Amino acid sequence: MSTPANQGKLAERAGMLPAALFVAAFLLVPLGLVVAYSFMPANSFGGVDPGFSTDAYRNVLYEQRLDGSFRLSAAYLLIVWRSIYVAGLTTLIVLAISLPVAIYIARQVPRRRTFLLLMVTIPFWANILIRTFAWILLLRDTGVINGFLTALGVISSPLPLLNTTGAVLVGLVYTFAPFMVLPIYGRMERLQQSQLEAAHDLYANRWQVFRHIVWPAALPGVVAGSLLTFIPCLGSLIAPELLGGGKQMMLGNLIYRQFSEARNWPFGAAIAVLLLVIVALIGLVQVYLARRKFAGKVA
Amino acid sequence: MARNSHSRIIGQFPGFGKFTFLFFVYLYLPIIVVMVLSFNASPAATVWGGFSLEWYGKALANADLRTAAWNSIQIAVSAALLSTVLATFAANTLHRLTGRKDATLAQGVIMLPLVLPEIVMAVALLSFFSSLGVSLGKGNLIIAHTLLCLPFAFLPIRARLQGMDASLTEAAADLYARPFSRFRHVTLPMLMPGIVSGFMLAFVVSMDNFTVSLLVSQAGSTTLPVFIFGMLRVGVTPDVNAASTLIILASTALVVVSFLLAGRNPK
Amino acid sequence: MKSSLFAVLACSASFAATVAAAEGNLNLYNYSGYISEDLVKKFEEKYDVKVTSDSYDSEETLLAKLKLGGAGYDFAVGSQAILPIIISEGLAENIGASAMPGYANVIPELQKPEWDPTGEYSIPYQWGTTNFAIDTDVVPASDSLKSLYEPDAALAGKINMFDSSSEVIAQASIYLGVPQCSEDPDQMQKVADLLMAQKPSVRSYSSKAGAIRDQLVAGEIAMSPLYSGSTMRGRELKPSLAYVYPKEGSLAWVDNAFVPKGAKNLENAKLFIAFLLEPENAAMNTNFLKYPSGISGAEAFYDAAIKDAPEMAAPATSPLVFKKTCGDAAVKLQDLIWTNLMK
Repeated sequence: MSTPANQGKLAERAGMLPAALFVAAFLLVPLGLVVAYSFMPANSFGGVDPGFSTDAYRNVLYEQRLDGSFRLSAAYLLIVWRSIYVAGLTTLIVLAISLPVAIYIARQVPRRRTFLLLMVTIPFWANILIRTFAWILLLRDTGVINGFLTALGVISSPLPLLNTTGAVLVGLVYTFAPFMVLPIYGRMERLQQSQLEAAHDLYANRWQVFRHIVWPAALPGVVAGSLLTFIPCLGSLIAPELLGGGKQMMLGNLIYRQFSEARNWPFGAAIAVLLLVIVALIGLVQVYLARRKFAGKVA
Repeated sequence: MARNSHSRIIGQFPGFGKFTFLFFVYLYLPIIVVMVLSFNASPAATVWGGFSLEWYGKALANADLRTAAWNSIQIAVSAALLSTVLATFAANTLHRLTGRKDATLAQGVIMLPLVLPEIVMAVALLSFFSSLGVSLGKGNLIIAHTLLCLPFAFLPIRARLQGMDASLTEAAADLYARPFSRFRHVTLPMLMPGIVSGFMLAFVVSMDNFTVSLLVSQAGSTTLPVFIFGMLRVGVTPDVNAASTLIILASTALVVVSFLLAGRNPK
Repeated sequence: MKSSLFAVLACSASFAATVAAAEGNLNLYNYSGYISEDLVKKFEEKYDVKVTSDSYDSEETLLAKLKLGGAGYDFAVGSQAILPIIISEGLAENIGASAMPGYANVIPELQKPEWDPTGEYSIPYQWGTTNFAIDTDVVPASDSLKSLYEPDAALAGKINMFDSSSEVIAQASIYLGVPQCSEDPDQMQKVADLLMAQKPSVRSYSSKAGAIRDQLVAGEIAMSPLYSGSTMRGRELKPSLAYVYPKEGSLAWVDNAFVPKGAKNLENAKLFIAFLLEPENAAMNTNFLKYPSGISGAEAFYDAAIKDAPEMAAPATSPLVFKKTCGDAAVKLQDLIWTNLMK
């Protein structure tokens, strides 16, 4: 290979370097640091002390009992499991809601379609704290829903809506619905009217049309939307605290707590690494699916 | 929203229209509640006590709230600008190199901030800035937000490129010898709707960010979401409703404007 | 289209160029809303200084941010529990507070206190107690932490607890007669059992004083740990609220104003500290926040409703127990208790 050709190759790639290097410097290096921190002893007042220690990882599985001895403990695994459970349930609900909506919007005339899409995104652009706060106003004992039901005479004392897992789910589903609607819509839009008409001729009922035509076409969007919902959900911080009443921690709260009140950065870092591993596993599954020509791109 | 229009819809899946209507009720109910209660004269957050503009006066007179809003705008504009510039060059190059291994890798790296849980990025950036003792005031948050915004700026530009006619760029290659002139005179103008939309998305992602801002912020860089979190701590007073309504209206206006801008240049 | 984009770009470039100038500024770092806005305005007008504020949600955050170094704050507030750490870690400026002319105004008990023995670093800001508030329409009158920690079955679902392990465990320790920051496993096991048994009655865990006050006023909860001043602010909206001084003891705190190391506007910070030493100014904070001031002579400027309010002074029947910042081993035990409570 000649030198000019190599130079050309580099010049060809110059455009992507600033962005890639930026992410490398300000995300990959910091992530490496988190891994490093997870193997260091904790400083009493936040931060880490120099040295090597695997205490943080031992703490994930083994609970140091109040008397100093160790025993196998499921406390943290329970929090991990709850996070996966809540994130998974959220993803399923979001999918169940978004699929009909995306299909419906995609079948509208173009002007109406763009209008509806805009309507889907607007709430997402309102601030996350405002959205969560709005749900508190709706769900609390003296809130809008309880007030409405009481006025109708349906209930005599307020339903406990706030500070429940249900409230956390409502808030999370609300936040992530657009992330599912948009990618599925993107796939459905490409589905030609003629294809559908042909399908109706071919198959006996709507269910078969859905199974053989609509669902396969939507699948890449479903995969993308599920990833965009599931992963951020795993680390969610606000909804469990403000809507869930802080009664049950999720991974996000656990990590934040270690970096604040519990003053144990290495342990927080170890939990963050655990979360990264979960995300990486999901990524591997997605790569596997992509090989099967599913997820071409995210949007 | 679900009214029957005079369109040529073939109702493949009946009931979906009604379902979509309910979906929009779910989406807009909380927002409408906040807006209505912002005009509530009663200081109790959820008891209606007549119409009043009092809380708007209070919210607007709150100097800390104004400062936080101004901080947010400064940080969001800077981060959106930086990320859009980075994303434009990256998208253009990656589009040309589609399918190459290193390009796929680079694209994966650029998309990372989108697929990592925010709390992980927040503690990573906190550890990073604290271990290096980097203290740039708002600079720290601008760097952090640029990172978070990058995929959001990148996606619309990349999508625009994929929708573009390849023959145009080929013709441009004949017309302009230097790659930069080609980029400047042909690619860039055609990319503009994607760039604008990427910038707007990035702007809003930055304005909306809470978790990273909470952990990474330094003196003089309290952003609006962090400030509202503090307000909720001190008391759920109706001026939160008023401030929220103003923010919702501002961001809605922004979305609609960017939507109209993009709409003037259909693919 | 093109021109409008460039307008946006030009605009944003000018934003980005607005780097804050450091002339005549003062950056406050404080709990959000923990200062009278009128007081700030008065200072700004008197000295022609622009005051900006940032807020933290817990003292641990304050400590972490200060440890980051050069975070750029000129003024901060920290309790008696955290101040010794801040001073010994070299995170506060020596401003020679005790040599300031106004220092004589500090009430004698709080001059050169245990947590700042030379009085060079800090002045008292406000002080108060962390006990609990009850709605007397629902909860029978009480003089014991028993009402909160071993609640009546009828109150299940009507109780909020703080979500701060250090505060809850400190208060529970007072109830059980366990020393604060205990590192004794048996004692801490008792605390753990107490909190575990209480949990089914607890509706939510939140330390957001404003939200707690709001829920008490709305009648959504009937009992919660709360600060004296927050309770008074709630009682003004709902007279049936009462602040309980437990016979086991009142968890007490003194918040102190100090200047973080590396302050960019040191002279303005000193001006502000001196400003706070004036009784009239200190009283503005009390009138707004409803906590007693550490400045003697401020009483003369208190609002009438505050002067004799029960929340302003603990009775002799409830001895003051000052909250401490615990050592590593105790913090670890506390975190263990908390995680198991929240798993």
